[in-house]
Amino acid sequence: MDNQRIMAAGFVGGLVAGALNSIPILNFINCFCCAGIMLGGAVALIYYDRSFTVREYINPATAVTVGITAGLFGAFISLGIDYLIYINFGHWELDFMYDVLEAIEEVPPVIEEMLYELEQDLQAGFIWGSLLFRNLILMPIFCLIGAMITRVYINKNREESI
Amino acid sequence: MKSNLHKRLVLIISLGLAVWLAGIVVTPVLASNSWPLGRKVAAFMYFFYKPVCHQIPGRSFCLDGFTLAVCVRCFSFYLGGLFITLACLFKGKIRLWPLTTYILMAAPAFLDFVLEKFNLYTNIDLLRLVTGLLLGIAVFQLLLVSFSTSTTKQGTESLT
Repeated sequence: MDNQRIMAAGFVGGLVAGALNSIPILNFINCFCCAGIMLGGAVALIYYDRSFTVREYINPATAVTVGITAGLFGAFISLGIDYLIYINFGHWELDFMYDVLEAIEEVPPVIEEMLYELEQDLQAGFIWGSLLFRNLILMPIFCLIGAMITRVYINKNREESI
Repeated sequence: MKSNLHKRLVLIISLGLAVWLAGIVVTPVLASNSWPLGRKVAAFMYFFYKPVCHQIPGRSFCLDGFTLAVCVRCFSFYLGGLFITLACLFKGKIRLWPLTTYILMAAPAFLDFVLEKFNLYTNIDLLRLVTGLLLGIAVFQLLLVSFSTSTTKQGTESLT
């Protein structure tokens, strides 16, 4: 394993995963079973593979490392993008949830209470810690899945080309 | 030795999926509870699962009057994953299917998703459930295949 290459690949994959996780409209891709974050892991592994002039088979440990690195980079990049969006547009996700709830005829009072509590927490700054915590768990897991799935096809193509 | 390692890996993936699914199902139960801390935890759980699913109430199963933490398609996706990992755990062997099989299993969910996004048709929960289940089986089968092959200088070898 080449640490420098892994970091570079992780950063590229993290950029993709972070952007697809946080940029509005683009993040709709995650409605399809988290495909956007998995794509980050896949991009990271492809980038890692292509950084070699002589390409070898990719072992599971390398794919796991690249996937997790991409996820960790992605977690911080996603938080950065969320912060930029918050500065410019406020809590657009919360507004979106309110819009969805308004479309429902009878919203249970408990849900309204929960949203109110969430809004209070958001204003208290609790949200940034929670966002980072959430990203640090979710993104490495889904990037790892993306990288491991991509590994199968990179190795299969290599076998066919030999 | 290698086979044991593979079994352990599959077991870890199965447990992870079981915990993930349990979290999805427990969320509405906690939300419906009158216990304030339980409701706070439920609010956090909805927030936690937010990046992986749109959580639109009309497209999710309900439990105790509250929606699950993810929609029907996502729920069945993970359910399909759990199904295939448990099958692999008991069967012991796993091999790569032809690419067309994966495409055929993923295509219905993809079509369902795209057509619905462009408002070309309105699907039903049962369809989302079936397409998500197929996609979950295909994705997690690939993941298990990836974990079940080690690499040698000559190529890849199965651990099962």
